[in-house]
Amino acid sequence: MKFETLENSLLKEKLLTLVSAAGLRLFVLPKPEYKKVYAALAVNYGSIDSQFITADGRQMTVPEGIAHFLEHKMFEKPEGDVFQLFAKNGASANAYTTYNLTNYLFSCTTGFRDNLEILLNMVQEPYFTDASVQKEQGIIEQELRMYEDDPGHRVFMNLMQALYHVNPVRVDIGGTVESIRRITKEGLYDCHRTFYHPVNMALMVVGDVEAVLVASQVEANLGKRGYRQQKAVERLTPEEPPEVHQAVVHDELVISRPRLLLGFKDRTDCQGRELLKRELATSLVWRMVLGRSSPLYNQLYEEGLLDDRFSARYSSAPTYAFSVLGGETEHPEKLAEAIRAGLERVAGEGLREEDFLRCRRALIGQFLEAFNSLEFIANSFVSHYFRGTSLFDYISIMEELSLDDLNKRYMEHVYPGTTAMSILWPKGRRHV
Amino acid sequence: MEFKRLSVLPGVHINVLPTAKFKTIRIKLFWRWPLAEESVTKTALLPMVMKRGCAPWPTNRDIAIRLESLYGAGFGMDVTKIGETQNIEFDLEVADDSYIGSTERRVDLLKQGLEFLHAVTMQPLLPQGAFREEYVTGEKAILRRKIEALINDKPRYALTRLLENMCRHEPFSLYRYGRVADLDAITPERLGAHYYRLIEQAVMEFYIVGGVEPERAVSLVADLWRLPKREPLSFPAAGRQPAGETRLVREEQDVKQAVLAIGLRQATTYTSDDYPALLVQNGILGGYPHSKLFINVREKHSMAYFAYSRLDTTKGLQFLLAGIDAARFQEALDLITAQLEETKAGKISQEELEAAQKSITNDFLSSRDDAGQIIDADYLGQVNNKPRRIEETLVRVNQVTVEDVMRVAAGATLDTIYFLSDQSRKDGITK
Repeated sequence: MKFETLENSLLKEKLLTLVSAAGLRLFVLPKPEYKKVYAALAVNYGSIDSQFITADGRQMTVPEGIAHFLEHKMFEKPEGDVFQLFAKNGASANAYTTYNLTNYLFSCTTGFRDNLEILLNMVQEPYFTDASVQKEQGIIEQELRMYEDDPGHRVFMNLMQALYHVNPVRVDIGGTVESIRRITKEGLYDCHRTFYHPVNMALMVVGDVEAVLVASQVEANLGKRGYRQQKAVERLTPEEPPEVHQAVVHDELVISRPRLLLGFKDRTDCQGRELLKRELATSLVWRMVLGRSSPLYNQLYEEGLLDDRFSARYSSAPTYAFSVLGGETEHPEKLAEAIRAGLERVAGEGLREEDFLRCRRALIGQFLEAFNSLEFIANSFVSHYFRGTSLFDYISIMEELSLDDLNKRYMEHVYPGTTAMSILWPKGRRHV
Repeated sequence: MEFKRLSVLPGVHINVLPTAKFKTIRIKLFWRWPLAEESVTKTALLPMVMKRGCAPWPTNRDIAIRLESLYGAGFGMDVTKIGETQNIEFDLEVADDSYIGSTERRVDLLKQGLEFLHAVTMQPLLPQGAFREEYVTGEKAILRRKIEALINDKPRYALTRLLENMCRHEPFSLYRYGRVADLDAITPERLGAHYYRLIEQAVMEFYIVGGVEPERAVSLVADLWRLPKREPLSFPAAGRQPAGETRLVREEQDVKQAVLAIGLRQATTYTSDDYPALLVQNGILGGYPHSKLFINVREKHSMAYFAYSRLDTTKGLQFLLAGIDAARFQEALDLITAQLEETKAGKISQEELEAAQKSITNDFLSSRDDAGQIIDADYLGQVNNKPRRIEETLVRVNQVTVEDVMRVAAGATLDTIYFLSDQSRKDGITK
């Protein structure tokens, strides 16, 4: 059992890592001054992994939303709900599913060893029955219907469907009412067997713990389960055309003000450190152009076209990348036009050095602030790890970026851009 | 981990906690003012207008640029209600210098952060004693929306309406953001006058947590905040009112899920010796997923979508909330009050007692990992005029016995029952 040590002098943090005999990647970030210990056991399996080749060579297509469904079901055991078990042990537990991963987590200030045992057992011991699957279908159906009434969610999903032709990011993480109904006990076991193998998982522990003790507990727990070596799962992603599927999509809902989202579809031709570099460059560009300190944001704010909940962000992974910006507005079409005109103006003038330096400084400061949170550290770290990037590279890549990089990125992604627009109108007010 | 506390002027206190634990320095400034009908809305509006601009940075954009230059300093403000006090909070977070030295020369972010806070709070745009008309008008509209938005969050709305009814003879019934009806009468001049009143008479508490030397932090604050004559108000302890006859208040709205909110008066408060036992009583009754309300009302009887209890320890109030099917009002009420009766009768298993103690311990210790929560916990002690150390409270929490819980529960009296439901579902209600 030998740990490798990764030091980050800028963050003044030290990360210990090793791969267990069964193949699980373990990360420990000691934070001796913290009272709380936070543990995240993540599976490299998200909602977009709906087509894959299993370890024994079968090609499978599973119902959309099954990863999220599986996450819900993992808490249910013959002896009851694992949430209760954590709570009785003074821990607070949770789980979530994204496009890319499923993450099971807890935090506690005492009894870490017992709680880690509960977590490891829970994730490795599936227990599904026809009755419990049926009950869950009802619960998740309610959850999906609730989301359908959620304006933020609706306007975003409409945008994803406009941006993408076939990429699975166009489907809700939870699936659809129809796809959920096709989930069976057998399908859940299949997915669990395929993806919940130690080689496809990572455990990250942050807090006042002895890395060696964590590692030996993990070895003991996994060792008794007789895992056989398994190759990495091969995922199949359908070929996505570069252009958008639909330029504009309108929809309506009972809401008080219209909502606008603009989407910018990006290419997916880089990975690893380059992927992170592109991501940070794009985030910086948006902050310079439409952040709180930008002339464009303030002009639109004063014209009453947007309010302080307006946001612009970039998401990327090896198989998709896009920017989304927008918010609530009385005049969605006017706002979209004004943003496009503003972006065109910036394209003509170029980005400014002064804004670049100031915004980069702000992002570095905010990154430091986020590093106060054990939850942020662990959740971001595993997400970066699965995607082949490292959270520890954040500051050094930021410092490498130049104004030229950003201007290049601007012309490549922002202007003229490959864009789609999603508008959600208050019921009955469409096209006024 | 304890604050060093120093008073630099009448009613101006500085609390510093030096620690290397965080990568940032958290600075909070509280202005304490009485919670009262005539000032509640003005006090809520004041910081909103102040953060729109100050003499050195007169616009939103100037402020945004300034905050970015300070390595993306986080800045916000809010208003909270603690007992019969209304508190304006200015909240600033700057990076610790030692983490940002590599790119450029060392910057003194503590000093620059305090200068920024001083500019926003002490150098407002007040020519001729009035705030800028357009800022006041704009922020009034935002405050109106904020007050009206309460109705979107049904459990929070229900709790607020319960309080309004239960404490109708006390200032505590006021909503922390004030009342829409007051907005029209607030002019830039009146708001300016209110600002000057606070500068002279509010109690000001500074909190600084992070990698700082206390002496230096104190001298920076003392050098910047040179306030002329100060006549700080004194604040009496939170008002106590005995429970009257139990009242049922009903309200009808187009809601899918009805909300039942029950208000109790507790004889025990933040300042009582029995405070640790009150925390445990609440933990057993409804504070957690292993508590009686969750297990019995939600899990066993599937009667509620949520069921929990909350404390206001300063006022000695306990609230029991459940989202239910309107037709099952009486059944839910009976089941919830039965859980309270169980804590009174000592029907508490060793497992329930320990689970509550463990969860409270976890919550309190976890709060030590967050500078904002460390500050808020200490400030609560200052307002109650009884500083408490978390470590001591936890020792006592873990000594609490079933008898202690019974004694505290015996001091709980049912005061007001509030029920929010759809008008089409009137059945199920019996007085």
